[in-house]
Amino acid sequence: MKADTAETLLRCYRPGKSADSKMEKALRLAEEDSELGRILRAQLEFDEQIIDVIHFIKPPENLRQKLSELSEKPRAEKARLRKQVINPAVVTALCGVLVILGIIVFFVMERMEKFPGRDAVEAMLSNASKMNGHELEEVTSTSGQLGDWFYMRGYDGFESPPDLAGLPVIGSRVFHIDGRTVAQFAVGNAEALKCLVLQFHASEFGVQLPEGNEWKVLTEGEWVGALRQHGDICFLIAFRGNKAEMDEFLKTLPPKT
Amino acid sequence: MQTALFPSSTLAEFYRFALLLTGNAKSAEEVMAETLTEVESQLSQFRNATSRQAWLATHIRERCLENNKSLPPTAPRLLRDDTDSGTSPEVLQIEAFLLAQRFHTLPEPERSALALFYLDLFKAEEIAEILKMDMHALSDTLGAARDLLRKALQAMRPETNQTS
Repeated sequence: MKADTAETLLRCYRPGKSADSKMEKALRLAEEDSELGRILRAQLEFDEQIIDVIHFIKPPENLRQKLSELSEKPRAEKARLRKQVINPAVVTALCGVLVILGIIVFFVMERMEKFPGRDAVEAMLSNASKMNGHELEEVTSTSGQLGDWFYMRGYDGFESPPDLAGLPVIGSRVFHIDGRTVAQFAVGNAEALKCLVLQFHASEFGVQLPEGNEWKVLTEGEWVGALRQHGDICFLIAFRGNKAEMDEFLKTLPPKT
Repeated sequence: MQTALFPSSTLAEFYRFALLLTGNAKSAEEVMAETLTEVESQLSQFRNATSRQAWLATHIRERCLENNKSLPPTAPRLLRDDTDSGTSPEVLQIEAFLLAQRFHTLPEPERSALALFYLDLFKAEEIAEILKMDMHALSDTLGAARDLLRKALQAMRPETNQTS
């Protein structure tokens, strides 16, 4: 056996542990080889010191009991929680909290749905549902080019936001509700009418919505409307359908820049 | 829990092993309790005590390394907090504390290899099996671990001289 092989083997040597024949050979070589013997003695001395110190580490006297307690803790906590949850008083309290939460959510949603002037907008939707198409004057244009057309018919201040400006218009009109003016046009083509768009002055109808790009969707009978306010101008898109269909339609509009 | 399967001396060695790997007395106890709970059903299936111990050592080591991952190594705290039992906290021997502190800085697998080698639990071949390495690799690992620990302890000497 070579000295370096013996040195490698001897790194795993611990006195008092059984040694196989190879290890015994390596030990014999260490007795004969002074350098190898020196390395082994230094290693054994170091190991002995460390082992002595490690055995100063005394586990807690009640280690077994502690381990049992530690392992029981999570189980006991789970069991206690389960017991508490199925307690009728806790179940009743949980139900109560859920009911209160439900009521709060209902009122919050109701409040979110409501806004000043909603009645007037619902009346416009109801009015739109009764139209037969003959009320509109035939127009072939886009909504962005209707400003002069509406001005000449008595609606002042027509605005066409970028997301609605390109809509193809097939008919339009100006009409009055209790003396207040509303501009209206129909979007579509020769085959189908896609929707009606109404524009009016918010202050005249008492409508107040937060400024921004968000459409507020509301329904009236079988009709759905999407309302948005910009300054004093309100835009109302309306067609026969539901909120989901309106959401889909709004996604088809180009982004408002 | 299956602590009855192990004599007190063996449990103590496992505790030391967990402490050398985690560097923290509380973590060592928790790791041991969690491991024993996790593997208790398998432990009774071993007929051979050495295989059972090797199985437990493997799982304690895995859990210690996992524990060290989630809790980045800090200076080991060997002050045992026995406030529940009403006894005053016990400080481990200062030499043991310093050793564990340095032991804790060793990389893996050197730390596990040397810890297992110094405990009265396994023969070298069994340690190699636990650490999934051959004897040659174990020999190299033990050699490197001794060098690292020796250097770490030597580096500590000027500090202790200055403070004394």
